[in-house]
Amino acid sequence: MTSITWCIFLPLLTAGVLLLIPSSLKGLIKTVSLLGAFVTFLISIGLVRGYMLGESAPGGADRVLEERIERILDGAALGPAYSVGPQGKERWRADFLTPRIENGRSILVKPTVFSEFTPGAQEAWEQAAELILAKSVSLTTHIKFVEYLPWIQRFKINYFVGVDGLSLPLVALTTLLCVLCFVWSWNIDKGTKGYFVLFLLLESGLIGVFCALDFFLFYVFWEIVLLPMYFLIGVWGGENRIYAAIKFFIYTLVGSVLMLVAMLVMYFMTEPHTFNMLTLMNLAPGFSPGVASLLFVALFIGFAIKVPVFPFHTWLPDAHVEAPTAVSVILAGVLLKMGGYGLFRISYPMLPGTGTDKFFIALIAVLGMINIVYGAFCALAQKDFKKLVAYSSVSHMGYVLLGLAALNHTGVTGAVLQMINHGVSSAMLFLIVGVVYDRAHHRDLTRFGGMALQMPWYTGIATVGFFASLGLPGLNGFISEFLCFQGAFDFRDGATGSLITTTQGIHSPWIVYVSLLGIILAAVYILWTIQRVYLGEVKREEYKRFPDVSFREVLALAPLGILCIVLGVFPNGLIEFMNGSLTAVTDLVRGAMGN
Amino acid sequence: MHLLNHLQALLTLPVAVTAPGVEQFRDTFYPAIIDSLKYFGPETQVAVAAIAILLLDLVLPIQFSKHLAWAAILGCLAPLSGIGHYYEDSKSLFLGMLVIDPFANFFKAFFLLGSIPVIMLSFVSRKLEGRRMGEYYFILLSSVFGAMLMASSTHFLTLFLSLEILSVCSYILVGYFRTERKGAEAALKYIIYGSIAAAIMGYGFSLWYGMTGSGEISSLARVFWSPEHEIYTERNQQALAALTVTFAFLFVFVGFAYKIAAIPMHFWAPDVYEGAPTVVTAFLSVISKAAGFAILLRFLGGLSSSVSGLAPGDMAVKLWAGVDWRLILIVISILTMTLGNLAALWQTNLKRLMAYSSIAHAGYLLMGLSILGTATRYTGTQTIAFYLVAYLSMNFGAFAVAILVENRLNSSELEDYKGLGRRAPFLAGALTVFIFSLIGVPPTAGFMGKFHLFMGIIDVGGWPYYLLAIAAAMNTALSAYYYLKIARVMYFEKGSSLELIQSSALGRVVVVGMLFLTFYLCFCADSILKTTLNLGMHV
Amino acid sequence: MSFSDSIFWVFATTAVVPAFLILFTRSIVRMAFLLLGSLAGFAGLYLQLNAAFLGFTQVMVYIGGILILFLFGVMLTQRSDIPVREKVGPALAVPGFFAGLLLMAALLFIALQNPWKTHPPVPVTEPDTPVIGIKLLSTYILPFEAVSILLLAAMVGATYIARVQAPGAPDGQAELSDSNAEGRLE
Repeated sequence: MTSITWCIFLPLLTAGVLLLIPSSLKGLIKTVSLLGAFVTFLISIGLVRGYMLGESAPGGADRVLEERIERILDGAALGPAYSVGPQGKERWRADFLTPRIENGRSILVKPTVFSEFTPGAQEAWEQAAELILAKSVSLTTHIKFVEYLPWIQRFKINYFVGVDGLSLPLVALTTLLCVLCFVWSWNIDKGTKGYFVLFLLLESGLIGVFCALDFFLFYVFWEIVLLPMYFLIGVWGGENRIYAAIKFFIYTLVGSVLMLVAMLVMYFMTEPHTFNMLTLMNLAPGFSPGVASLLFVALFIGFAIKVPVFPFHTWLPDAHVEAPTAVSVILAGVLLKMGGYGLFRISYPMLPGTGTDKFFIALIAVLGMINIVYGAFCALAQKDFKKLVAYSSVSHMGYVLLGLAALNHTGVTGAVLQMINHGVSSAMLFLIVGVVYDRAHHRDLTRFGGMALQMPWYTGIATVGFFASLGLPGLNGFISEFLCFQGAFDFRDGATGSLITTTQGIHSPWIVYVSLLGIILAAVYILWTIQRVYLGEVKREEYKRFPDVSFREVLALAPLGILCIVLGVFPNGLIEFMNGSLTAVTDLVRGAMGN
Repeated sequence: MHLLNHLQALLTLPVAVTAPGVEQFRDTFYPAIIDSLKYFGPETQVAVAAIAILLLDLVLPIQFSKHLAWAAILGCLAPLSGIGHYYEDSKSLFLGMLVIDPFANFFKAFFLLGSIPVIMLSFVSRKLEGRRMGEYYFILLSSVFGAMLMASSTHFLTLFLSLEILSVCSYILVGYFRTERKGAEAALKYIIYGSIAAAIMGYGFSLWYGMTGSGEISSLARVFWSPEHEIYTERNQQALAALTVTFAFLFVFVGFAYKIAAIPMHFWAPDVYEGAPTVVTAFLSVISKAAGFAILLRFLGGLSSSVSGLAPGDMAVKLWAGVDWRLILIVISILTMTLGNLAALWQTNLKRLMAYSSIAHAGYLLMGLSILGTATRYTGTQTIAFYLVAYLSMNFGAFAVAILVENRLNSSELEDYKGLGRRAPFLAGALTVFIFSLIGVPPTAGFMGKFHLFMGIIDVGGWPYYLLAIAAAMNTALSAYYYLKIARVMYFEKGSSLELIQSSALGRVVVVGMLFLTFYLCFCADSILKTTLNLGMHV
Repeated sequence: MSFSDSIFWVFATTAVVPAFLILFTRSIVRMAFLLLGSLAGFAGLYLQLNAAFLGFTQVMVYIGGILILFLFGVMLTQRSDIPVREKVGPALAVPGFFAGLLLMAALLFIALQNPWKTHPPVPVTEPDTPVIGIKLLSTYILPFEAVSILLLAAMVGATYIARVQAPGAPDGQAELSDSNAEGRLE
């Protein structure tokens, strides 16, 4: 078991331990959960440190895949002409497994003598070919901590996990937020055991999604995330929780079954059939444009629901408002990122032809614009504190789409950075809402006021969160939004290399200009919120008795506040960390622009 | 085998009667029958066990009557030894009436093993408490006998007869609580629909018999695959032949559709599922349905396999108006799953809900039938066989929980499941797992089964299959709504009582077993997939 | 029309018309008597096909045995609380009627137009009982034996269900309230 497998399954293991503890021992349950989450966090930090070693980081994908290929060829009867020693194997490999480069993709055609192979040799060829094609993808060199084990051989499904500069920050974000959520959830007294078991299951699923390099495995983890979420909202949620839980579940399920169909179509259209995401990045770009567009649309709907992209966003405000604070934090901080991550890891690298199609560029840019502006306007109209934060999430995830649609290095970096920054700042905002909700037991913005006097520490921390979300220079949100816009100003037509000025009648700089409105609106609704909640007169007598933030609350909030500042002042460390992988992804996609 | 030798000696007494055919009987038929008996062991053992239970019940005092369950379990386990090994080739038995092959063996084992949880649940079911159980287990084993025959029938007579054995036994089981009005009504409805379906199927067979002059499926295949049959080429009546084959096909399908509760013969399911004792509902929804699919596979497989001596390429046979029969199955599949799921949305009784859910699952399973005879890596037989095992795990699991809850609450209304998450944490948790498996969410058996089916149809490709895939995908999301209603009631709503619900140890054993199977089939799918791979039907 | 043809039509009418009439009869006793007519018609058809044994068996077993038992059973157990018919609205009945008509037309067309594969007529020289016996014990031995399981199961089930009406048992209403009554009776 490698460290990454530990990272994925340690929360699950902890959940298993919890099941053995009687539910009356609430303190023990909380301690064990927190311990499990904390160790997982430490492992993920270890992964980050290890990854920074660069070339010499352990478990490099190319090396693991090469070992696997060797083992497959060693174990197979390759035929009488190749049976002698290692040279025979090398010769077999040279004869049948040397890919041909075509349009920047490696291609392996079934050898003409294939039917004369023994069944064992045929199988070995198929298995090895899949891995060789995976190895030839440029992204492979950036993937570390790889574990590759056969799982369901009949379907060629493998337990294939690993991390790169794109997924590792998200893994670290997940583990960090889970620790903070467990700290926050110390006051959960209703069904404590179930709550923590489900939460740990959720954590495993989330880490799994970001680590999976096998499409099937990705799908399994993707779905595993659904189940605990449904119960966490449904059991520990607010007034309207049942409606919110079922809406969340069915929306996401519709998206994921479409993804399942698309995944299977991809599997059968590739030769050799494969679920290996790296192999698919090599083979799937060869699909005909018609099929590729349909697949892209199916996958996009699946991911768009998670992001959420207008018009699939309606589940989000409901889910957020009803979910308990800690669950909202995970929902906004990590769950929404699954959609964006899917676009970066699956849609674009595998179907770059469609992704760089003018129509889809324009579509996604426009959807991003709608998200930004529409989300901001909705936020402006809210009286419910939490709903406001939820709609601000819709608005902020729009930047991700905008940066992604730009399809240049700046835009893509900005988009990924925005995902992480939003993960930090929105998580913080939900905790901030949680603080006041725990005291006032309502979230009506019109009834607050003057918190700054009563709770100065709280107001200080909250201001950091709000300003980070607003995009104030010096805090994290600014950097990523700026990069997204910079990239979007610059997006170019793949065929001619010129700036896209008109696509389907949409003047592209206008998309950016309109989106910039989102920044202004964000300033308006956030400043207005600060004014309504923290400034002015104390509207009710009872608010005067509110205690300031407790130690537990500070413990959960402070790391996020610090992260907001650190990522705002030194974004370069993170950008450099992601650079290699993102360049590889961008190159994969832009490669399709040339042809 | 000693017994057989004695029997042989006894039977080879000089035959006094001289009638036409006696010579032939002695020289060819008789040895063939004796030889067939060797392979007929499992069925014989089940029949003997059934009758033994009936006789044993006569001498047992009533308080021991319920322990006949152990004898019944023995009656299901003992024949397994005769099935244990898979025959490489198919072997025709009883002069073309039956066949023994890996396919038949797989399903026989499925029925026998699948009946064990049913028997265990019957043992723990409070509703059956204090009754004489001899008749019950006798009829249960008789229906298993019928199901086993169904899986290996190759002739109209055995096909029809085995179907009737299973049906008649099911009628009795459904009406077993003769005093309950709902049960009596359900049984009556079941009999009426069953008789109509059997009559229509009989008519279909007669059409086929009229065309071929033979009752064997293999001879049908020749007509089915080449309507340019010799008797038609003379008069150049291909259109008429195609029309006749179409009607014969549809009529026979109606008979099978009744067993699997697919459109257009699904009407009986909700009332019967609700009215029957819950154990019997579990039996009907899994074993009876599986038997229906086994015989459908045998029938359609027989029509399309190499039995007819035709290459797979010749299988694109058109029915009347040039319709591919698989297209009909696709349409029926989409209609069945959609209708089942839509109707289930409004149900408030768990058993009724499971009835509609079982209709929907028949629709999913029909996906597997619609790829019969096409060139794909994942054949219809494999996908259906695997899905049936998965379906067994989750459906029996759900019904086991329903029975254990019913034992205490005497109700299967969802209303009464409120707060079950508190009152019976283990049962509620288990039921949740089974529900998610029924929806088809990983990591459960139901997901793997559905995944396998999807792989089959997408591998075939072409717009009807893509359409089917999309329809099935959307149905999955649709079904989530009503399945989750169960979870919602158990966890999100407060019940009127907080009293803990105790359940018997044996009942828990069944639930744990099914839980294990539900996860095993996902995490270690390879083991079962290897078995289904070797089923040997080339379809 | 030859003599044998006209005999066929007489028997066929006797077989089909009562079966048809059953659909429109409400009294279960009348239904049983109509069934008698139908079975007799089939017996006649068997006789005309030179299947003497089958024809007489039909008369003896079905008419003489099963039907009389059936009538007895009906007369002993007749109750009126099970709804015999359900009302069908015109929205279903009218399309149903036409669909039925269409189906019948198609089936008649198939039946009359098809060049059915027929066996050569069997000569009436030998008694057919040995042939039937040998067939039953060779080609059809498995169905012949398996049917015994079917009949046994049906019989056991029928007795089990009919036992409700055993003398001394509480009447239907009382049983509804006490579902364990018959358990104690035994």
